[in-house]
Formats: sequence, C-alpha cells, structure tokens
Amino acid sequence: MIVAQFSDIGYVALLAALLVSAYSAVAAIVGRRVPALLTSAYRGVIAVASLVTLAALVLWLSLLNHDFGLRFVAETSSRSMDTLALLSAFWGGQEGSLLFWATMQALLMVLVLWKHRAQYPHLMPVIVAVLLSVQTFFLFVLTMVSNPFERVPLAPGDGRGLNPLLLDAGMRIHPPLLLTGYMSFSVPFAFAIAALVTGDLGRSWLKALRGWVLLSWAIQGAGLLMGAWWAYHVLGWGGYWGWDPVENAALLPWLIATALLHSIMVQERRGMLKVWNLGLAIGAFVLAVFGTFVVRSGVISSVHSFSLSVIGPYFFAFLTIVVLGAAGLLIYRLPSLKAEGHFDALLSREAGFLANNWLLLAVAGATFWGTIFPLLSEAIQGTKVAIGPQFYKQVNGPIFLGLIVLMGIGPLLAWRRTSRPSLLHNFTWPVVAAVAVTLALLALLGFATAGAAIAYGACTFVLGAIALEFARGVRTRKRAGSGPLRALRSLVAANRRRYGGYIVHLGIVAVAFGVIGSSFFQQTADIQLRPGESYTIGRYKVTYSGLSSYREPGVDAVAAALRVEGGNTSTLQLQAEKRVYTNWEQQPVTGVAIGTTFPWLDDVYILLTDSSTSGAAQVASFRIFINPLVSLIWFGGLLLLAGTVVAVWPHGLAVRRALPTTVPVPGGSLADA
Amino acid sequence: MAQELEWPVQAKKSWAGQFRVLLAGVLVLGGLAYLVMASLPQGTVYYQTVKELKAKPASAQPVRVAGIVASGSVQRASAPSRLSFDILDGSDRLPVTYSGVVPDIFGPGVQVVVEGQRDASGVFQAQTLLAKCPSRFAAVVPTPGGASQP
Repeated sequence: MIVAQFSDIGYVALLAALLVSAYSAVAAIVGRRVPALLTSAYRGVIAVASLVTLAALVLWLSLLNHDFGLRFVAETSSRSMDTLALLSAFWGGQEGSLLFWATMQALLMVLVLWKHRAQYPHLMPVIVAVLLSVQTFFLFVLTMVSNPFERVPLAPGDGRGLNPLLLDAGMRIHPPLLLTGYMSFSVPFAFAIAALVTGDLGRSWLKALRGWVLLSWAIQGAGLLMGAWWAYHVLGWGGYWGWDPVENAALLPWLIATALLHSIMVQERRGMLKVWNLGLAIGAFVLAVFGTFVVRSGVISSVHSFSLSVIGPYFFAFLTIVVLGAAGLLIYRLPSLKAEGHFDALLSREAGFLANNWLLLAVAGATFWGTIFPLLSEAIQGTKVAIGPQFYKQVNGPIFLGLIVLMGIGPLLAWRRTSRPSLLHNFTWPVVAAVAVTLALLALLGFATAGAAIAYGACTFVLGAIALEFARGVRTRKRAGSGPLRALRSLVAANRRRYGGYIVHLGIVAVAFGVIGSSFFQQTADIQLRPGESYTIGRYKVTYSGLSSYREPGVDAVAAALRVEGGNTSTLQLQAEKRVYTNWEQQPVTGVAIGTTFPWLDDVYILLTDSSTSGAAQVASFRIFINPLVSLIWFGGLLLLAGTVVAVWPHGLAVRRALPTTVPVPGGSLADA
Repeated sequence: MAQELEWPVQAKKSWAGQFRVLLAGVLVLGGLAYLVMASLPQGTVYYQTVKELKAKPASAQPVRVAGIVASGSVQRASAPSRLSFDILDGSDRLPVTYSGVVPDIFGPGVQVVVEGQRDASGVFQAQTLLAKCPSRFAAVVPTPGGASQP
C-alpha cells in the first residue's frame, strides 16, 4: 500500500513546475509570432514560480516537522537544532541548495517579467525563454537526479544534524547569498542572448543590463565577504581567504561582473566593445553555473568537502550547450556588432576601462587556471597535484596592484583623449602623496616589505585622486553659496552613478589596506602558558588568567580567559574557547577570541589549541595571531554596499542620458560615471 | 571635471592610438603568461601515495599524502605541543608528526591529507594537516602550518 506523504506535495509541485517550465519556454519562442501563446508563456512564469516556491515551503516545513523519512531532512537536521538552524539546514546539502537556486531564479524571473514586459516587448519573449530554459534544467536535475523529496523506507528516529561549524550566523547568510548571486547572473545572460537572437544590438537595453549586472555583482560581493567573515570568525585558522577551489569559483563570476560593469560604460558612451560585453555577460553566467556545480559536486578536492555526486555529467552537458549556443549566436551576429567608435589614444577613458578589463580578466584567467589545473593534471598526466595559495598570491598580487593604480587613474581620464595640462592638474598631488607614503614606509619598515610600501603608495594615490575629486566638486558648489555638507550632498545627488562609484572605489581601497596589512605583517606564535603567565607578541602583552568550563544543551565548553595589554590601547578581555558538540560525534569546535585594538586596528586573534582541566595546573596552549587591519576589510565591504546603493538610487538613474558618440563632449567627464 | 579636449576630434581612425592600445594588450598578456609560468612551480604540491613516497629517498620537496588515521596511533605530547599518528593508505602505513593547530574533526578513522617531507628516519614531518569528512557534507578546517595565509 502506498501512503501519500506530506512531502510528496513538494515532489509533485516540482514535477508540475518542470512540465509548465518546459512548455512555457517553447511557447515563449513560438509566441513571438503567436500572441496568444506568448500570453500563456508569461502566465507559465507565474505558475512555475508559485509551484517551485510551494516545493521550497514544503521542504522547509518538513525540516521544521522533523520528517526524517526524507533522506535530505535526516542528513542535514536533527531534533536538537533550533528553528533558525532548521531553516538554514535548507542549504546544508546539495538537493536543498539546488532547490534554493531554482526558487530564487523563479522569483527573479517574475520580477524581470513585471519590470520589463512593457519596456522591451520585442526582447521579453527571448529573455523569458532563456530564463525558463535555465529553470527547466534545474527542475530536471531536482526531479530526476538530485531529489530533495526522496524518501527512505525506514525513517530514523533522529537525523544526523548539521555540522556544528555550520551552525553560525555567518553560515546562515553566506550560502543563500552566494546561491542567489550565482542564479542572478542568469538575467544579464538572458538579456545578452535576447539581443543576439532578436538582432536588437542597439543601446536601448544597456541601462537595464547594467542594473542587473550591478545587482548580481553586489549580491555576489556580499556573499564573498560574508564567506570570508565566517572563515575568519568561525573556522579559526587566522585567515579569511585561502584560495580554495570553492572560493575561487565564487570569485570568478564576480570578477567578470566587475569587468562588465566598467566596459559597459564604453558601449554606452562610444558604442564600442559590443562583442566583448556580450561575451562577458555570457561568461559570467557560465562561470556562475560552474561555481554552483563546483560547490556542490566535489569535482575538485576542496576544504569544502561536499560529497561527490552524480550531478556532474548533467552540469557539464548544460554548460557545453550554453557555451556552444552562445558562441554560435555571437559569431552569427558578428557582422552587426561593429564598433561605432574606435580608440584614439592610450590616455583616454575608454583605454583605461579596457586596461581595467584586461587586468580583471587576467586575475580571473589565472584563478580559473589554478582551480582547474589539478583536474587537467590528473586527467592528462595522471599526477595528482594541489595548487597552493602561494601561486595565487604571486600571480594575482601584482595584477591587483595594477588594478588599484588604474582605479586612481581611470575615472580622471577624459573620453577619447586626455590633455597634458589635465593630467598634471589631476595627478600631481596624488602622485606626490603616493611617493611620499612609499618612501616613508620604506624608511620606517625597511626593504623587506617593499611590496607593502609600494602597495600602500598605490592606495594613497587612489585616495588622493578621489579626495581631490570630492574636494573640487564641493568647492564649486560652495561657491554657489551652500555649506560644505550640503554641497557634498547635492554633489552626490546630482551624479549618483559617478559618486556611488567613487564610494565603491573607496571601499575597495579599504579592503586592500586590510589585505595588504594582514598579508605582509601578520605575526604568529604557538605558546603554552600557566595561569598568570604572559607572553609578549608585537606591541601586545597577552596574559592568561585561567580556565573555566560551562555546559549548554549539546555543548560542553572549556574557556580560557585572556587579557591583552600594550600598544597604548585600553585593556582587552578575551575568551578563547573549545566547544565540544556532544550531539555531533564529540566534535570540538574552536571558539576564536578576537579583539581589535585602537588606534592600531590590529586584530589580536587567539585560539585555544589544547588545555588540561585535570589537576590544578590548568596549563593551556594557544596559537596567537596578530592580524593588522583586518577590520578594514569588513568596513570596506560596508562601503561597497553603500556605494552600490548610492549608484542605483532611482533618481540618479533617471537624470542620466546616454550621449551620442559622434558629438564630442566639451567638459569631458561631467555626465558619466 | 576639469578635462579639456585640446585636439579637435578626428573622424578617421588614429592608427597610432589603436596600435598603442594593442601593444599594451600584448604586454599585459605576456606579463600574465610569465607570472603564471614563474609561479606555477612554487604553488604546486604533488600528491603521492604512501607506497610512492617510501620508494623514494628523503627529499626537501614538500608533497601531499592522503590516508586514514590509524586507530590507536594518535599520541599527543605537550611542551612543545606535538601530535604524532600513523596514516593508512590501503595496507601501507606512514608515521607522521605534526605541531600546530589540529583540525577540530581530527581523530582516528578520519581521512586526512598531510603536507610536508619525509625525514631520513622515515617519519613524515607535516607542516599542514587537513582533515576530511568523506561520509557527509561538512566544511573541513584548513590549518596552515608555518607563517600562515591570511
């Protein structure tokens, strides 16, 4: 006898969504000639979104109700988990992650349809067909290969639960952000394909495309930063980025999106780089699907060791179809993608953007190569290798430095050609400041860290150039009679895209300060202390006062109390812990003690590596890191988001007008970002 | 704001400008190729099986070896804190010593990857200890040994 279970609603909903999605994708294409079919395809989008959302809700309810008859629920949750943990168990495994991806993409599809249906009636059928095809692929995988609603014959009494390392606030936000970021790259991709299929290769849809790329870029960026934050605060190895394959895979589409955000402006202004931009939009999506696949497939051995799964061949086939199809379309349309303008000079805004794109693609290329090299090596030579962080640091470090310098130069170059007086006017003081900082740091810290001195010089250059821009703008407006703060506000409001961009650049510089500081000046020590003993590292004295232990449901914890003094800062009281999760095979989890000192902004980062509670001795071992300026990375992340919000604030977008390329623009960069 | 266009904008292509842009592109590509080729050897660590490792004489070149921590072999010594254990790769056994932060999920029966060198006495001196939990989805903690990666 077959008894229908509550969770079967979810599976039936997914099956129905698969059928509706496949039908609507075809109907949308045919509907370009048959209006009635088009209407039904658009209704199909709503139906798919409703059905997939229903399936997601069923999975969430099954997690909350402890329906361990579902293999997914049994593997990712347990009775001891609280509601929030149960809700985030949704993306604790492959099936749930894919369902989350599909759900978010279905909802985004509705948003795209609602926003642009009237605006781009000729593009919309193809955009919808592309988005639905992507959705259909994920629904196929979810129903046929990686089914979250798969039942086991005998329901266990309790589930395995989620690894305690994942039971953290950072882990609740970071995976869904990245999955959302990944899936959102399908919209720029759909726009690109729609442009190629319809042959509308003008600039009418560029603004919309740029908006969607910016959204994907912001979400993916936030996801990356949250991941770094989680690694730093929870994993307890003293760092925030390990150039691990899964991290790299998430970085790649973000790098491409960063390039596209810049190069798209060249197309808006000069009608150039058309093929390039379409290629980037397609490439970002391909890499996003690659990322989704790498995260969940275990194809590349990674510290994020997700179990190897059977979805690999399907993803590979899907990616092959996408790449070949898109490349074919691009080649087919090549004759109508001729540039309207051309490069006049090396010192021009468009050349600056092009250089920025080359460097970003160079980082992406090197990172991609390092990520897949172990796969290639094993497949071709039969030797198993691992590419360590050293490779990425040596290759990407200098390229990032180049990007930072460009970030200072680019925005101040004029379109077409920059005159010598303008160069001197804009760059004299920033260059002087940069050289001064570099020389001062060399004198202060010596030549061993010359790299850091040069990098900080480059950062100073960018800061100087941006500060000069703000100062001049404010001065002009102040002359018009308003106070400085008011002048600043009206300056930003009058050109949100430009000044939003500057704020984003400031955020990047803040991140760079933190990365440089912690890469060059990190200090480490492994020590063993008795209560009352101290250890001096850098300018700080760390004193260990003693151990205590406490118990929470499912957790036995040992905590070491520590005091950090010195460096003219107020005393920090820290607590480094070792928590043993009794529900999860006695797995210990390190509770990192992190304290940020002022004004130095050093993170004192302490791990309790070993302790003996038996006896009165209370000897404890610690690993101490001094991580300079890491807090600036998180601050920079906030600036990035703030700048993005300023840039997309609706009023600022409405003011902008694309300028015809044939007319030279006196006054250069006034109206562009 | 203050840029002026000094030259009248020409309608015809400026070949010199195009050429310079192209040249810059070639330089960037060449630089990248050089960087990658120069960095690949330093960044690459080879995996070896226990059998392969034992067949070769001790060498300073770091390698990675994967295996399962043998039950009953884990010994912790404090002052200086040092961990020694054997890893099993099929029927091959390799003694390993390691000092540094031990991954939270480390223990007998856990699949680990160690990176380091085999010394003259046949003991593997690990600078890095990575633990894997192959049976289920779990993030695994990397613990870089020496001066670590931020």
